[in-house]
Amino acid sequence: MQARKICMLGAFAVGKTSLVSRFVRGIYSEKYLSTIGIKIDRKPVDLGRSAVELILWDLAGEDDFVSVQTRYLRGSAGYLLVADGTRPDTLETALILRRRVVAELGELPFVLVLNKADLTDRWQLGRHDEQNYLGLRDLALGTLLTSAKTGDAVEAAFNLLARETTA
Amino acid sequence: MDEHDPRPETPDTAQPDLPVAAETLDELRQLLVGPERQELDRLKQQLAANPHQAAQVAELLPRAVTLRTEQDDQLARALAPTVESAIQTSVRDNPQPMIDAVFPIIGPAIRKAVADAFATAVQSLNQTLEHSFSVRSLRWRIEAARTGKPFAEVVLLHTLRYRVEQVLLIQPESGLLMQQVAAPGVQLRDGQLVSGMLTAITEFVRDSFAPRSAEDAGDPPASARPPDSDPGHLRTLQVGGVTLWIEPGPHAVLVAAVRGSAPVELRQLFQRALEDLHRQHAPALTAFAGDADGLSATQPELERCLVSAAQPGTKRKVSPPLILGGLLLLAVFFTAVFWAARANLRWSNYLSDLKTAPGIMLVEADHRWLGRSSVRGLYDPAVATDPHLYLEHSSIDPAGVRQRWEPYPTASAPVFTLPEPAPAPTIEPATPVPAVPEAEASPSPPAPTAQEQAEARLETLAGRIAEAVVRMPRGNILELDGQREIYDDLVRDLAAARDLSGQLGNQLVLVVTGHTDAVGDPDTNLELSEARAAAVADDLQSRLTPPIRFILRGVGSAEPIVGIDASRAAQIQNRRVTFRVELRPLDE
Repeated sequence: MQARKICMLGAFAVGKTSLVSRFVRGIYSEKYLSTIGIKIDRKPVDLGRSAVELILWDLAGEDDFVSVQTRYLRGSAGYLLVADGTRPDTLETALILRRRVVAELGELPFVLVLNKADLTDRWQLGRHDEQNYLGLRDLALGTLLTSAKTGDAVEAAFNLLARETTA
Repeated sequence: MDEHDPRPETPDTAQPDLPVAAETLDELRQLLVGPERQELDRLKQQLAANPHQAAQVAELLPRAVTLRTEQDDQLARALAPTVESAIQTSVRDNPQPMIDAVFPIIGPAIRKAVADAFATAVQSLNQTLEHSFSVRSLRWRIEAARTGKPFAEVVLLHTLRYRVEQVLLIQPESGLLMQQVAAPGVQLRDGQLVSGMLTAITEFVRDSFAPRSAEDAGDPPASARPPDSDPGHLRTLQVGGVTLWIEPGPHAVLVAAVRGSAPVELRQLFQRALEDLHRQHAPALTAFAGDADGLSATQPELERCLVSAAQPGTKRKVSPPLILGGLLLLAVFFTAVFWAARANLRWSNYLSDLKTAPGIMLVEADHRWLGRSSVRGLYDPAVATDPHLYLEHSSIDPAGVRQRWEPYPTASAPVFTLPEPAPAPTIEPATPVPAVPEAEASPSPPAPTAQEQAEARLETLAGRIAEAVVRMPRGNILELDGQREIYDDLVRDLAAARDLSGQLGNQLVLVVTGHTDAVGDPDTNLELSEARAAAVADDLQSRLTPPIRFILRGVGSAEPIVGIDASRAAQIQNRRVTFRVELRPLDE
């Protein structure tokens, strides 16, 4: 089976690990554990005519103190750019991260994921169809409002990237 | 050729007279290269004629093939696809010739494979046996039980100096697993995760500890440099007994998991393997984009790295004397147990016989494994068989038992003091012995006459003689062991009785009666009983001077003292000889 390296990129505590956990193991935990360094998981994805194994590199989130080491991104077939819909500043971080990826590795396919869609009362990124999310929407393969908690659109986000990277 | 070659017509010679010069030149050519031209024409003709050419190639081909094969393997490589496809086509179209060709070798091949499998099994059995009888193997078994590993693996871990258990080929940048192989019996973990994590760790270590000066000075980033010269690359990782040896290459990183302490030279093997991989599979390595199947051709190269080395001297076998000693010890132990059980059984049977025997009272019994056992008791000489006989028939070594048998005090008293009531008619009424007056005299015993005293004495002796029993447990052989005292008393009493009867004017006649037990044929028993009486009479006669008269009787088993319902040992008491005294006139 073909294997593809996929990275999870995003600000601190946007739910990257929860998305991976929901996607790979189908579970969600309320408990928050900050990722230190890297966690690697794998998940075979059936794309109908073909199958691919995603090797998911879950990188520690970016914040004021920790900056994502782009060298871990090398060899990636694509990445999930994750932001937290309840924290607009995480979208800005996502933008910065994307610029850094382009500077280091060039253009790579990515899916913009706006997580925590279940928290509708605290949602601050406006309505989905009106926003272009700092221009990221146009650059991404797709933009999805996901919830690691309910599982909404999580599989769709990963599958979109998987399909693109094996095309 | 001459038309096209302008060079010979140099300007110096061509200018004065062109036709002459051309003619001369032609002649010169003819002279110089005439034969070669002819040969060339001939070759041209040959080439033009196709059948002829094929024949020549056929002639040259074998030699050419041989020459090229000696040079390098290019020809084999070139031919391989053709041969493969030819074989495939042949098998597809008509498999029979191939079957016929393979048939003679397939049998031996299977036999060899089976023999190999057996040899492997025997080898592993040998190894197991080798490690079965030692303290060390016991320790390993405990370790196996503790750690949950199979015993064979524990043995392997301890007897191998090192073993390359796994080899992974990883794409340096993405950390994707390109290929992996494992030694037999080693369980492959999730190679993708391992290789990913390993790559991440390598990157992390490089980030944290590698000297950064090169990068700061504007050198190309690490990924762009050949990793061989990358001083920041992690080369070794140690986890428990396993060391990960990491060999970086431009397009692939080779990681070998080595258990034990491998020599440094092993790294050269990995380096060479990696170099060969890069040389032979460079396009596949470069083009790798996550599809491991495209690199399956690298497997043999990686398997070459799965080497191992045994520890010197670990094949120490358990010495045969040690095994022999162990077996001997076991044999001694079981023999001892057997003997002890048998001795115990015999002893308890012996005691049980003693306890059930009439007239014997066992007072004390002490059975000892070491030293002499002892029994002590009382017996009634009137009723009981000699207690010593029980020991003889018990299969217990008599020398190992100290016996102390004493006659009942109460039983022996009447023998000596009271006249025997049963054999009262021993003194025949025909004789003038006044037996009755004794009773009259006893209330007033002022002065018994000498004759009266002699008569009383004779009566007592007759009673004692009638009490006497000579045991004859085996046939008609008189054995006095164990009954010598009784026998000597009998002889003494007989002598005294003979003398007294003489004094009283009578002659003593001894009726000797032989007895047998109820076992066996009655006629034979009757004969045996007579023989017993005769044997005893003979012996007594030899001891008595002057002699006495005997009357011999054999009654077989008609007069038993122990019933047939008693034990076999007890019934032996019936094998005996008894006596009765008769007084007859001297002239009879």
